[in-house]
Amino acid sequence: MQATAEDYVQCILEYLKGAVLLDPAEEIPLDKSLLETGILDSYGIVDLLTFIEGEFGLAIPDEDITREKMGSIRKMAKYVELHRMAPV
Amino acid sequence: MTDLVVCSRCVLPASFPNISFDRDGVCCFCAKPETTHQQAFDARQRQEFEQIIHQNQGKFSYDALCCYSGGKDSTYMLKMMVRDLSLSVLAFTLDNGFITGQSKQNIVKVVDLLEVDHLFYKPARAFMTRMYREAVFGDLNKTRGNYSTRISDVCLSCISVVNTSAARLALQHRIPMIFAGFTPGQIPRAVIKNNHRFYRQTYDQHKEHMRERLGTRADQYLDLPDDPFEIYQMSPYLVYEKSEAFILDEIRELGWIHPEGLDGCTSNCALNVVGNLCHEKKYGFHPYALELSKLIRKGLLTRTDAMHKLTLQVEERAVEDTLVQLGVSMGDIQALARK
Repeated sequence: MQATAEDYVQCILEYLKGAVLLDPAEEIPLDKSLLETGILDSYGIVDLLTFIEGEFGLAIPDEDITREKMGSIRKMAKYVELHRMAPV
Repeated sequence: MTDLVVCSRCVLPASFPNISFDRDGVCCFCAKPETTHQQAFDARQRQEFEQIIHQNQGKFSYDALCCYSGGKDSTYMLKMMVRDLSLSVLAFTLDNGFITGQSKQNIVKVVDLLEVDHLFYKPARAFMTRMYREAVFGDLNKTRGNYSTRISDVCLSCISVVNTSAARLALQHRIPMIFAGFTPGQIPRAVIKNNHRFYRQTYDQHKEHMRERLGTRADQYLDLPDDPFEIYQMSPYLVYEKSEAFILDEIRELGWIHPEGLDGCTSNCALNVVGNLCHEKKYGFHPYALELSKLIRKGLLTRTDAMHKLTLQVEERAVEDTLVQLGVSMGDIQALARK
């Protein structure tokens, strides 16, 4: 079965709640910038994008790393759904 | 390390955030160490790294700026840049006031031997001391998100000044690549394009907070000009993986000598030792535990060696000298509240 954007949201959240968040109970907004809400710094964003590329077999071009395409967890998940061919 | 329960494969302790163990004492991070397409990602990363070097070599006076701390990793990286990659290099050392005397001797010796141009840059001590104190005892980094699993408060603030200073220098001299000796456990990817714009954006976002804590001089050290020049941040250890034993062998021939009086996780900076102590006190785990665990999983470090690094005791006098320079006491550190 083809994974949905919601599956990718959960996968990203699971990653963040792994070795990234200091407090696993911290609320993570799905529709806001992780940088602007202070969840991640610039390193954290690069780390998350690297995880997405490695986990889902994508190569995200520089021109796609924009607020419009990657500005929130939901946008990232949508991007993966659109660009990934193989199921999770 | 403050906890006795440690993963049986890596060195992550039970106090590490979000950790769990299976019945064999293996932590959840070792159980799933790599992403699904890691090998393909690594191959692509290496190809990109070499392509960027090829594209940028010979275009400007310097091909690359080397962030040279004088530690073992950046020393071997500098050697690799000059001798293996044949790059025209400007080496740059940010003197944070806590580089040991032996480390400074190492730096001078190595840049002379490799025949590279080199700059020492020492920001005003008053500013740096204020920044370190605010980072440890205040809330300087509260807007920086979740960094505590991978780096100490002190190191984060210091590396921010290093990164910004290096980027400013690269912009001034039109140097298209900045090399940094981050290990595979310290940074997620080998090539980051225009990372300096990310720094600028991040600083801009938190400028008021930084100015409140550090004064308006914060702009001088942490802000960057708006400049269309493109810079690639290059981390060669992510594509050319080297063991610590190999690196130490390689730099010994340059006359590099390991400084005394430091802990097992630093080979140049006395402040790092205090930063690590503060981090353990505040968060309950060593700030290098995550990085060293990643190196163990990659086969670049043995668990025994990693444990040795994390538990190596420091000379009390060396710590005292650093504390005096910072204007804090061991009692202040002991009183740090556990997060």
